[in-house]
Amino acid sequence: MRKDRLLLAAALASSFLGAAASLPASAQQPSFTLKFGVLAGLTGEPAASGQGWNASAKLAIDFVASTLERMKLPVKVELTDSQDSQGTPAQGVEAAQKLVQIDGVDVIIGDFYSSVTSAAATSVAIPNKVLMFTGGTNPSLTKLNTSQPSIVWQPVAADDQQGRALALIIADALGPKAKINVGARNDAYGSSLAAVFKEAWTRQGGTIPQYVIYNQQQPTLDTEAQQLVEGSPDGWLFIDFCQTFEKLAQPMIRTGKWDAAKSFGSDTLNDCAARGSKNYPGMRATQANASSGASFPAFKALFAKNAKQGIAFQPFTAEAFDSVFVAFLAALEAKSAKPMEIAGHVVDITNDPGQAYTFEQIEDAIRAVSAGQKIHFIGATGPLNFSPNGRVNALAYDIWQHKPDGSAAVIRTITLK
Amino acid sequence: MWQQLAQLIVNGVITGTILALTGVGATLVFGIQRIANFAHGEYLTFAAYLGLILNSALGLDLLSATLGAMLGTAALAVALHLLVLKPLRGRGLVAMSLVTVGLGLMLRDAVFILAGPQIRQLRIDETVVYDLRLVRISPGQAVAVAITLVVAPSLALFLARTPLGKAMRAVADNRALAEISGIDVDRIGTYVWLLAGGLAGIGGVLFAVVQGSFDPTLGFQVLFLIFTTVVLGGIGSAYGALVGGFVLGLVMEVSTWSGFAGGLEARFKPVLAFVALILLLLYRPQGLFGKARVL
Repeated sequence: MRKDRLLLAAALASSFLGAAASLPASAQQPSFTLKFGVLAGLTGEPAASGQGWNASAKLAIDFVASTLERMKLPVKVELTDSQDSQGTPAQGVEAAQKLVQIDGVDVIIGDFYSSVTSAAATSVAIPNKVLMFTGGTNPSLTKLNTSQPSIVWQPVAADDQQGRALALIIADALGPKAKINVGARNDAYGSSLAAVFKEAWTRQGGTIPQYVIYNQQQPTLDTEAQQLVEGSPDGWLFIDFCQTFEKLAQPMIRTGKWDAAKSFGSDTLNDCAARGSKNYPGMRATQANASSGASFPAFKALFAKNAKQGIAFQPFTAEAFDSVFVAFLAALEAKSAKPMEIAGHVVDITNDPGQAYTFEQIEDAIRAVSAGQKIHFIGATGPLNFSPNGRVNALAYDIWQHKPDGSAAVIRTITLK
Repeated sequence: MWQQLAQLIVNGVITGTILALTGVGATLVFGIQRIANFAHGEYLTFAAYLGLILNSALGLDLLSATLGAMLGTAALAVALHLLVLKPLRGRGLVAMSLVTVGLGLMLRDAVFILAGPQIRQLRIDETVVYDLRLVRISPGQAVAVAITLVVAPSLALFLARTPLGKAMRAVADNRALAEISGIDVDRIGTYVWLLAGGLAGIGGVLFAVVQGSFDPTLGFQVLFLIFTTVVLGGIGSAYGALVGGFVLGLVMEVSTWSGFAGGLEARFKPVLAFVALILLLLYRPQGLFGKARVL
């Protein structure tokens, strides 16, 4: 009798073990809900870009969510809320507070203004240890990460690189010792990038006869325009957003001394027509990474198909799109939605070694990560190669040019070493 | 160098035109209704967009569009006064001012939702310029200055010589005494809003013309300069706002003249405006034209 009971117990144990071994992989999968929040200027001056940023982030989250549903995995992603920073630090902090304290998000996608990011990160994200993937390019954002793993991640090359890229591009077009007048908006983005360019340009022997930092909110910019045409420059560099650049461009035209074909713009001026403003034929501008990924056309097609009517496509919003995938895959590898655990895997997900996957192969990427394999996620903007300090190491820049028909297109891509 | 100075004076007059015209409406409301109307900037924005509809969509010429915007903005100001501000009267300056902040936010977002964030332009070629050898000025800027030079003295005459203008001044001076004297202060209050809205209407369209392009943040961008104009000129003084606007515009632009030890950097222009205000108030706390009496 006792022997029968022992045999029965052994048989039951074996069948339990066998059943456990044959359980589908999903039962051994991590189970969590990754909550995203979007922080962007949805109204006011940055609205045209902010709406696109929000739409791209939402597109990515919906894409991941539907993939997970199709695969019947116990992992969920959701866009908890999109908050409007209005492009101002004060409003950005308030919006970030709502995302973190009330909505309990794990990851914030935004802001793309460096000034808003700096304020929101310092006041909200870092104290609460919530990750931020920002479109801000001010180099000082990297310094906000005072400990590891980083909390603020910049999927686009910072302005200290953009300044170098601009110096390279302008030197190539007008000669390294050309006289270039610089006009920049008076905020963290404009004044910082202008200073970086000035240093790079003068180091190589170039001169800057007029260096004008202007308040974009002035009623008129005629005085600034008149200053910018003084000194017989060989060319111009403008650092501004499209809305306010138009306020400067018109008095520049009225001076009769400005040539758009000898003018260069920062990444925010690459295609003003797409942002509800207008382009100036001949003018060139840079943009980091934005269209250099193999999956960029697919992202663009997805946006065209799914984004709301009236929201214009802008290449830089691919950064928001990529950030969602990076955060999600890092969470999957960490098997957790806890921000600091995600942060510990961002570098791993975006660097070699590992099989390369784009968002188009997200199912395969999910299977690989779930199986414990190392992957290398390549964004729509190209390889990201995040480093532990929160910056990307891949430094490709598109050169855009405004066309006679008012549109803009990439004419060349350069790689900074 | 002298050509630069001449151009900067013209630029200062152009900037001053906008501040003067928009400051008068704000100071009248403050002096007579005792409300710091933080929605005043949005009245300019409303006027600019109304002008855009009349000029671009309906094909009216700029003058007709300006008149239409003036009437529309005046109607808006009166409507908000009757529906929102009048029922809340008596809550105190701070509370009423906060209400106007809310009204401003509401108006700005309404314009944004209806019109979108795109840059807009009136049907006027902003690249045309009159080259007068010493100075260059666009037709739009010249028209703005000309209109202000007509409107400003007309307004002063209206306030000084007409029964309605005198009644407004009486209410501003001493509301209780004016009421006892038989003046219908409520009706005067409505007329003040009508006048302030009308002036904001003209100011908004001219601002859009002078600036060349605009978006829903048009009026908000200059709100604090408008209030600086009001305080500089003396709160409640229409003359003061007119003069204060031009003084502010000239100080900001001419300060960048290279003859002043290289000139002030352009980004410090608003700083200079506030420094000028502080210095004036230290010497003359009531502002340029502020006294016990208001105009």
